[in-house]
Amino acid sequence: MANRFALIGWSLPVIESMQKAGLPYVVVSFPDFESYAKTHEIPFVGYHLDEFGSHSNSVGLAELLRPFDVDVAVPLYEETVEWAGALNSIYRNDPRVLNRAFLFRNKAMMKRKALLGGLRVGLFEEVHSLEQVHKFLDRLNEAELQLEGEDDAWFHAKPFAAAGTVGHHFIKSREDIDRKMSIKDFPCLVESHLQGQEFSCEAFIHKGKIRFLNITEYVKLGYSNFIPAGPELEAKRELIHNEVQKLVDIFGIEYGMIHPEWFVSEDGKQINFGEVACRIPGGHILELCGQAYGFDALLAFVVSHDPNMTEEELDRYFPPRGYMPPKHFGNVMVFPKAAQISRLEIPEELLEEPYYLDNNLTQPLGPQKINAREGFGNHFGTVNFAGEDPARIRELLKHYEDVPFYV
Amino acid sequence: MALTLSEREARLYESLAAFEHAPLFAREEKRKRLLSQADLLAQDAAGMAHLYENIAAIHRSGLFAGTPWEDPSRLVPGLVAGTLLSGPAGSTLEMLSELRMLAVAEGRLALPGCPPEAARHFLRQVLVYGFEYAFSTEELSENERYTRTEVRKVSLLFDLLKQHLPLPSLLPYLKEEIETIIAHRPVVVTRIKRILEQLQHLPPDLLDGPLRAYVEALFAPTPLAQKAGTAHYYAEQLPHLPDAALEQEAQALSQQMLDTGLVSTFQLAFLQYAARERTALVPIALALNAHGRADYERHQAFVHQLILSFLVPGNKQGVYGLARTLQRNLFSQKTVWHAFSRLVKARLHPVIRERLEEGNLSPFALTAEQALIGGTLCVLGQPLGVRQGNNPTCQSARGISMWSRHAPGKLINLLIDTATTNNAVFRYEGELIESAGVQEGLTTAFDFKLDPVSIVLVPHLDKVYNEMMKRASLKHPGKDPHASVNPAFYGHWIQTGFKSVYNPLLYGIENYEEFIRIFYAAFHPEYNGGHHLIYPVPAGIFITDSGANMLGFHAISLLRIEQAPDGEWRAYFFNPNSQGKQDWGQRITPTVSGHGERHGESSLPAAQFAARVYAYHFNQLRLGDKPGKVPTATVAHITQLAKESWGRKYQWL
Repeated sequence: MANRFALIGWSLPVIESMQKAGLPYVVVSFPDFESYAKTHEIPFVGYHLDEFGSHSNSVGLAELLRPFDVDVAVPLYEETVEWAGALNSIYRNDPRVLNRAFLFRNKAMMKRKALLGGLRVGLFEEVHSLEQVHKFLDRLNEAELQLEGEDDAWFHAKPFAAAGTVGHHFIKSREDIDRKMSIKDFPCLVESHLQGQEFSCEAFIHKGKIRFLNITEYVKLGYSNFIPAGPELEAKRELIHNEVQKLVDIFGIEYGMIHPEWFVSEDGKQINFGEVACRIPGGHILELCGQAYGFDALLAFVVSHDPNMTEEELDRYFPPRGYMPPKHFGNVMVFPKAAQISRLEIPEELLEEPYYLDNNLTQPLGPQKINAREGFGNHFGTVNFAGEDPARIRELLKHYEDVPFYV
Repeated sequence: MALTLSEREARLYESLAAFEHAPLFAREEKRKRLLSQADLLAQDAAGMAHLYENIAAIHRSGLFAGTPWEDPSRLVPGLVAGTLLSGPAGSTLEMLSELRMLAVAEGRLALPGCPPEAARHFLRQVLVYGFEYAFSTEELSENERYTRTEVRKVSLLFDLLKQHLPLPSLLPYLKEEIETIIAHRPVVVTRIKRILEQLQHLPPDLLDGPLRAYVEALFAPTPLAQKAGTAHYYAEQLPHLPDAALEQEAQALSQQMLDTGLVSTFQLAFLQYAARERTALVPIALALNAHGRADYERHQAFVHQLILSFLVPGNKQGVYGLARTLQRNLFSQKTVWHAFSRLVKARLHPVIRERLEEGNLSPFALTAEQALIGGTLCVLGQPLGVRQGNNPTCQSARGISMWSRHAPGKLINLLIDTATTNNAVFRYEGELIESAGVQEGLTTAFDFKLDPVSIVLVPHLDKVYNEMMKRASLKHPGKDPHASVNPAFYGHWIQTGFKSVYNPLLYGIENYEEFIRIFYAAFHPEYNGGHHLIYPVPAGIFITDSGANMLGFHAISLLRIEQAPDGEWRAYFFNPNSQGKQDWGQRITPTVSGHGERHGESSLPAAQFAARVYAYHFNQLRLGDKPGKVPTATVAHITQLAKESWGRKYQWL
């Protein structure tokens, strides 16, 4: 069992879980949070967690944490993955832990590693200019055996290091390249579009083995998902389990939780690798996972990082092996549809829906203008559902994505 | 298929426990979820009762802590109805707050600083201020602004409150409310009608004399009317009455109208009968004196046309408007006469027609034309009865009121243009501003619970005013935009001098003493040479709450400073927001009656009024050395009131 966990990044739900479980911890985040932490008696070390680079001084941070007797670092956000990796390198006396963290933070490097290890990935390249993107499309079209007059192949352009869909462009034609991309996007990764249903997993890893695998079904990426996934995906659990274990082996991951995204191939027999992160996933996935399987998934996320925990200790934090929950838990992330909103409206049919669980929608303070949504963040709250029938859950999530909760 | 009561109860307990046991920093999220469970229970009476049974536990969980509902002694009953209609989750917390008050009133929960009697008083005020919704949710159900679930929640809450605080227990409060409205004489009388409608169903012996008289004025103004029951049967009796009895009816009906400002369907029926068959009775039924009678006789055919073609049960208040208009001799003003003759023939723009139809709050059919003409008569007859409703459009209401008093021809002329073209054109410093070309006004969601003239004009005036303010701040940076906008917007009645307490370049209050001295020297008869004001003075005031905290800015008109019957010098002013009675802190409480106010006026002791003003127009040619003669003690007193209220929010230069 760890002496003390350092939570790298500010997350109230994680702090709450740690307090409830009585596990020793200290939060490392920007000094802005210090007075709040003090008021609420949250052990805290203020640190400027700027972008991790050659100038970053993880040894300095480790020194600040020494009085707390920290021996495990846990990254909570995309931007803190290298910081936690650097600290764990020190704690475990293994420089490659940091290198592995870099894997998660550079999408080109991540893809290369996956390709080397034999995972199915799309065609990808690192590009530095619009011209190179056009050339990439030439080669992609060529490989797809495009004939004169046929549509261009689809592909994606994304920054090397950003969470979710921040800075992501979906390019569907040659014109799209110049229209959607600009000089500030470079350098970046371009990769061919993978067809098929997209889903994610949350694999809790301990001593290099999957201790618990959750499969999340996306109804609409960034808007709605539910857990456990419907029978179609759950039927592939063994295949998915094997592919995830392969990913773990290739990347050499020993501890923590990974959140890879996959695409089911058209024949349904294979899954293609999209990308992987090792922080708390968005979409309140761990909350849904915890509700469905009846455990504190945030706590499980934290303790998976602890190399000193025994199997028996670990079992206390996870659902029984092989347990399949009876109910599916899903949510819809609500973002206003109108450009101008003045109030929140909960439709009658929602309150009468037996699968409706609750919501945490925020009431606007007054009429306000709505800016474009960024990277599936900044939603106005979630509406939660639970029920036995996955088809009904899917139907509800689809329906409520389109309901204008804000008018 | 919906969840059963016990399922919903279980969920409430679960989320209540989660909220209660959450560390302080994680409570906000759980509060929202708990409220969403309360919303599920608030969908039927059994669920509402369950919430009430558990309200003490909910209170003890700390649900109200850190919210505006934390301290029950600071809650304002006048804000409850508005918050209940503002949507979740604010409406849910508000509902629970009333349930908590009820538990206190019933002795089931003890709260420091809030004895049971105070809680009962609070809830009765809530029921009175929210009367329209508490006793009928029809209006809410028809308004598409509100979802059915929210309406259900509000009406179930009021049902529960009414079980514990039945209508008879509200009578003293309702009487006060009715008397305030009657003294204030708004053009829109929906609220008082709703109250009287409910009271007429009570056993008559529960009502005291005055209350019974108010109910009768609307529902049984004479013994004959009471016997007939409906205006239809009443009208059928009239041809069989002897002359003396008819005259008695006319006098009784018109006296009630004079006393209350309310018009019954019986009076309308009588007036229409008189206009057709007994024209000599028309001036009596309208309570006209010699001046009014002269105007009626001069324009008899036209007045009959108005009575028979344009006044119907849906706009019967137009009878009072007509009487007051005749009394003001307005039809004998050439401009009004020509303008009004044109207005009755106006072909309304479809958008305007739709708005007027939407604005019909009566249960009767009413064409857009009838609404407009009846409404115009009311605004001409009661210039101080114009209100802004739930819209932030005090400037527009003030303009309509001012034009009705001093430029009725201009008002009707503007009304013709706007009603036929859905557009209004104003001049601002040599440029034209068309409302149709302006995108944004101050208000985004317009509340049409207004008089018809306001329904037509305010959406346009609001945009024009906003555009003028925008241009003014670009053209005259560093100067108060009102100085140039007010004359352009209201007209040449605005005096050319302008004073403001605020220096926008230095962000502070300056020359306050001079500001007060000029105010007194210009408007107070004791210091301005004994003169009355010639035109109303548009003034900006700071609105403060009962703790004298600054809330915002508001536009009113100073009408006169005169001695009240008891000899006190008071400022009488027009306040376009619907509450005439308010508490501005520092014991500054504007009144609407009892201190020499005319219908529609609010008043305050002159010094108290001056202490809330931040800008006004004045005539600088007439000042001379008068400002210096205002007593230093008066200025010091006002300065202290200012500094200890809104002045706390500002830097004093």
